Amino acid sequence: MRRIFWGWLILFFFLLVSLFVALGTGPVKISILALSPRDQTILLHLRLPRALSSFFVGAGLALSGAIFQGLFRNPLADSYLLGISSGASLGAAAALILGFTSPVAMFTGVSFFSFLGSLLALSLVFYFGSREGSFSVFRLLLSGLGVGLFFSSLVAILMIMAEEELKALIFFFMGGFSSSTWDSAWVAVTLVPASLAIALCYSRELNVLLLGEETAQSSGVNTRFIQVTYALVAAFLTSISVSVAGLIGFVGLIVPHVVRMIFGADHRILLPFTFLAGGTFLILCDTIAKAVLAPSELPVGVVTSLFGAPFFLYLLRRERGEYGL
Amino acid sequence: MSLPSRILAAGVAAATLLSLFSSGRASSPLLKERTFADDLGYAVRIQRSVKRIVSLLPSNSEMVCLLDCERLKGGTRYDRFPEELVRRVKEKKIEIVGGGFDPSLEKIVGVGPDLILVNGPSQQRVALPLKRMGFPVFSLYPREMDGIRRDFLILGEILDRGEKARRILAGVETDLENFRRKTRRNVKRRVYLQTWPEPMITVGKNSMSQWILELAGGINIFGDMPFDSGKISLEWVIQRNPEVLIFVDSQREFAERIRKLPGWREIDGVKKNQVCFIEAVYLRRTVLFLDGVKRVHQCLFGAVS
Repeated sequence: MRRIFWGWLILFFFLLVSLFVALGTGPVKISILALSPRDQTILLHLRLPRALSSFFVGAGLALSGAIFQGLFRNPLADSYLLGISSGASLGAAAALILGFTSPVAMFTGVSFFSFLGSLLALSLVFYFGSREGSFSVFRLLLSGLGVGLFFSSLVAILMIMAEEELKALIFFFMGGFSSSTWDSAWVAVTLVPASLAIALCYSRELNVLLLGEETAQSSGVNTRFIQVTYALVAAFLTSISVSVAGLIGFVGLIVPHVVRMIFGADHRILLPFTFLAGGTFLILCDTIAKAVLAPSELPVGVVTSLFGAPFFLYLLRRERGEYGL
Repeated sequence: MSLPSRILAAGVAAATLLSLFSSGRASSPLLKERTFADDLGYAVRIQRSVKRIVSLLPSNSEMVCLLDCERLKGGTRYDRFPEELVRRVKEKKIEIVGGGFDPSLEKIVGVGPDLILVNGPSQQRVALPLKRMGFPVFSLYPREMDGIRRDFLILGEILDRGEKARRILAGVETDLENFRRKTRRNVKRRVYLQTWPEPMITVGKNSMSQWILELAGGINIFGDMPFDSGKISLEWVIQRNPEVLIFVDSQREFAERIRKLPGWREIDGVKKNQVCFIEAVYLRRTVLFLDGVKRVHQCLFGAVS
């Protein structure tokens, strides 16, 4: 318990520091003691929605990663493997290249259609992953792989059609918060915590599910309900993240693993800690992305992958044998 | 000296003599082939009378057409300039062999070219098999204005239109000089050029657009960015506070919205309604860059008298 208490304290401390750094960093020097109307606009309408977007997107991605890994009992499961990200890419590419505009005023065409794309991918994964009303997590995983590959090939076809949009599409694929405003931030700020609340409701059942489906069923857990609920929540989180900030890799993969190594695999602890750690990690990555090449920005996906890829490789090496890889 | 040695010596002498004639651009008019060095440093043997050219890059197609459009037999689906080229495509006198990234080898070979013009490293994937098949493949890969001038002159020599190339360039230089004379009293204005709205993408130090902006009397507020183009955030635009904002034409809808979006109203150019649109084609790499310069100048100061 002592460890958990200190864990909370340290995570909150890091979150506050990273928020403070994110709000204090930028090309315009702002003095908190003498705020001009311009400074207020920058602070309240540019930096704050950006910091909150990066926190909640990071939190959402990490949470969805923790759920996918727990649900599929697979350390490498994430939204990429399940084809959700490919669905989002297809939506974004279609909006950019075919010029689709969003029917909802507050969304850009890219955000709206990447959200639709990920939901479409999710429905297809569930459709092909189930048989006569029942499904197994492995069937879902394979179905995700198939849907993902199919959508990726459609994205490739759209990319061939692209001309000047290609650069924007590449930037989308690398993810980022450079255009964050309240219009996009509110989606993450409201829906990601709501998803966390749902996820926490059944975290005890998710723990039991880790012991195997049969054991869980014999313990009275409605395994099918839990699996569907968590798969929906995780996929929904991914689609929110993609619609707000494009594709950002590795947060969903590394953050849950780090938290699991430190605080163990109990989902009642793992899920909220992953949430906090993922958000804080992405705020820091975004601050680095803003600063390194100023005035130009590095896509935040590049920064997360820069940290994430070596860790991923380390993980691959470490888990060899244990998972039969 | 024995007979075989004499034959060998004569052979070496003849080969040396031949290579002297065939290397460099100033070779003998008697030879059927000449050798030119392309922008990647390859020596390419090209026959003296080139008649069938395939170009895999719009700017190269444009250069060929300005010199002698009849000899362009294959181009890309993105070729738009000059007008004569568009007309010849419609008349099916120019075969479209694909785009810059996806040209069809079969279509290129089908045209039966005696010269294939490619971009730099990015088109080597196509260039290599064509070279292996024995086609002369020449890379024109200019990165700045001097490079464009140089490549245009080389192309002029390859097509035996050296005089025409020099005449066109001299005309451009004269026009440029006149333009500079008329506009030299203008005070330079800080300008922001946005090529894509979400994410916001602008041009940097190494771009053709930067060169055009500066020639037109502007100072690119992101001219310190050491790339062709890059992603930036609105806060940087506010901090650099441009006097004029230029958007690529396709962003009219976005530009209409910016007055309602927070942050944009803090920028002098937005406050004073100094917002202008430019068609992307004006910013292309071309010897006819002056059209783009004049258009940007119009955005910055109004029309040139």
